[in-house]
Amino acid sequence: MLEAALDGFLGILTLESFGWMTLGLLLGSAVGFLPGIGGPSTLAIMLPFVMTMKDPYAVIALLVGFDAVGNTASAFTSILISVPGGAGSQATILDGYPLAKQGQAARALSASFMASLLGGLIGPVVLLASLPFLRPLVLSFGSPEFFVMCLWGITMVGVLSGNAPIRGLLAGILGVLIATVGLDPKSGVPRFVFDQTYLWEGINLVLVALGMFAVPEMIDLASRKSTIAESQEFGEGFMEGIKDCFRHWWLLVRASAVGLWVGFLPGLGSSVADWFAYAHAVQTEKNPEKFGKGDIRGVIAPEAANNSKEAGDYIPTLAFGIPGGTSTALILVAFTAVGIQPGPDMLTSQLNLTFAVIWTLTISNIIAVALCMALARPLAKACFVPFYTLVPPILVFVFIGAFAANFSSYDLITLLFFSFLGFLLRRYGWPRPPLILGLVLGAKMELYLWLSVARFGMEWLLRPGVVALLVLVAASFAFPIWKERLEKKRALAA
Amino acid sequence: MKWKLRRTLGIICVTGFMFFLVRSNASAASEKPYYEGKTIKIIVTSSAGGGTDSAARLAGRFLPKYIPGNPQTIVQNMPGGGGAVPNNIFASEAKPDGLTLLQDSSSGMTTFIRGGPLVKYDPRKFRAIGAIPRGGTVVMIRRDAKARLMDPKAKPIVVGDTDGIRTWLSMTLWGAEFLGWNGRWIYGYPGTAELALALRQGEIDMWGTSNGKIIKDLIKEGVVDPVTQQDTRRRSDFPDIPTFQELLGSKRPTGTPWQAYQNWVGPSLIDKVLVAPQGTTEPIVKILREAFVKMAEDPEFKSQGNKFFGEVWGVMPGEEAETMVREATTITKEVENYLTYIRKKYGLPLG
Repeated sequence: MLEAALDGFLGILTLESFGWMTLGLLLGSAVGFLPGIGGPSTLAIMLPFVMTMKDPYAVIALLVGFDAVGNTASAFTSILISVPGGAGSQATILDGYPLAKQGQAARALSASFMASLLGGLIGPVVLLASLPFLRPLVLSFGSPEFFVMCLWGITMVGVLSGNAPIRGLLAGILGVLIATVGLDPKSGVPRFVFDQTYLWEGINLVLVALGMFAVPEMIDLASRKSTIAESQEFGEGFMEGIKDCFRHWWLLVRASAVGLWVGFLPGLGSSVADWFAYAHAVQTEKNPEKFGKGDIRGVIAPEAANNSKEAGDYIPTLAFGIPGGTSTALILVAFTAVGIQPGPDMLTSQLNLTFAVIWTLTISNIIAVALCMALARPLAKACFVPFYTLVPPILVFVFIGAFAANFSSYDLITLLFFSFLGFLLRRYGWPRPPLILGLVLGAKMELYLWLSVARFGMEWLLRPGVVALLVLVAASFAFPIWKERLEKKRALAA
Repeated sequence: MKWKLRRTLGIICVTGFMFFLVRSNASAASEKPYYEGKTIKIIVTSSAGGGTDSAARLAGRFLPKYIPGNPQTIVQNMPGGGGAVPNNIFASEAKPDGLTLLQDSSSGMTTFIRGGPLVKYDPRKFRAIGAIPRGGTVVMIRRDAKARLMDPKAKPIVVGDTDGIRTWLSMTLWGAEFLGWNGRWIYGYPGTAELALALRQGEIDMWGTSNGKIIKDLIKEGVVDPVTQQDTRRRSDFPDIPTFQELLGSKRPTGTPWQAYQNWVGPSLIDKVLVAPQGTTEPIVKILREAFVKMAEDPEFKSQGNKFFGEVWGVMPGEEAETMVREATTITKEVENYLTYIRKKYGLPLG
């Protein structure tokens, strides 16, 4: 194994491979920074070129380097202007943007990058440690187990709803309902398409996220007629943010584990890693009422998770050739073209290439974070720019991002619709994160429930894995309630 | 004097005419090839990864080399509805200017044959550029489920699929109908990788794929035993597995049931077909078809094809593919009724 590790390391550190890795991470960071233009569309453009490359180490360095860092740079727009830079940084907005409003953007940014770095390092370490267990682990999760994992995600709706659990549940249900729009992937039956071919493919998550978060916040900013930062103090928050990560090191480790777990399970999809980690933080940390108002822990948890999940994504990809999402599916195509065959060989005769993936994840994370740290202070000053300079270009930025995905004007209409809905939800105090979570998990829940019942009838509820997971779900649901009661008792006793 | 004037005028006219001739020849020679500076979009009827996507990406990479003008290509994935979504969009929106092509698999044809309100396209009207038929599908069964296959008193074995449309499913249905196989069918898995995992986990007991590497890995790991294969001839990489016709032996049906089987299986003989929209002019179709045939001879294309498709695959020229598509998708009312009956009987979606 040591020989494979060394081979992988040296393969990545040749001048050529290192050059490709640098190019990959610069591109990945730029794409992560821009909303709407996502990793998958850029990968699709890169693919024809990458398929002509001959050296597997160079292909790994370029593609894994690109893929690993998108979630680091996407925190910029989430924190500074409440525009989700990518699917992985949506939860970061909940506490990151309020921190920016308090003039603590630099602290939020440095905390997010430090958390990204540490999460991105913990991920590959755990991936390495679990190499012998990969296959049995993946084999033990069938459709029923995936359904319960999605159910766990939905129970977090309550956690993400703050003081309005009923409204949160309703918003979550609305999200699940929106997820049903389109052609049912199993049988092709059209649902809620109103005879429009555009709606056959369903509603794009990116458009909903931009509409729910970006546009309402810009409207709010314009109506406040001030700057993002409500006070004019810049604060020396940069070093503070880094110290925060070490202060909350245990939360960081747990959030990284959640992210890795979510990335590893091929059924969940990686856009929920940040939400799961955020919800876990709210459920388990002291003083959860501070979340959503500018609590640094609400930045650390999702940012650690969305980097560690990248390592998790590669577990089913390498062990079984099952891509964790569109990005890994495209990366797999490139791997096949250059002779890297995912499957049992990746843990035996091609172990050096598996190590090359692990090393690239580690090194590219370090470089990308250093780059983002260097840009944190100058970009944080955007919070002091008056709204009339900031709002118009941001809105244009958002709409171009939405249009650039498919060059379709229908996408702009969809964005307008969800912007209006997002504005109404914000105006009347309805929580928006549950809607996003419902949208993301809805389709998967339906698929796994369908497969579970078709395959096992109602006996799926009696599977040992399902029972164990249901106990965990119940515990995660009950734990905050029990903790609250315990604290009340202590307060009364004191 | 008059004669001199006429001679001068005559010389001027002849010179002018010759100049015009030379100029028009020169401009014809310097006329740009149609595809120069242009981009061809290839729509793929599946998500990224998998056989159809690979065929599209290989075409996207190698076809431009052999098209005069060397256009750029972009590949756009558009899965959904067993191929109905991209086929419908292609039929209604793609311009017949040779700049949009569709990379389909046999599913697009099988979905058309199954019919239903979702189908708003006709593959017989598309112009086939070429096809990549791969080796026939091999149906495998988990070792621990084998004993239940022929035992009607045992729990039925579970056959898994993506959308209940795949051509190899016909072997399992006709196996149940005419060989007494004890099975039940579930569908909805997102794709090949998920089905292979479900087979390894024991969530499904039977599955079919033409991906030689996956088949060999599963057999090597001791997870499955092969049951039968689709083609009329055995694959060179699996010479010991009986074909379905051999397996049926004397129990092979005749008349409408057999015709229906052949109609369902037919599209897989064409497999991954690349088409241009209805109405694309003959000159453009000719350019693309010639490029496809030349691409097939490219050694790098062949080597990449082996990496994606395994050892057993080939190339079918556009004219042949177009004829076969027409034959495969033309069915009688009796066959249509039989297909509906057998799908309903075993719980597969009707479309």
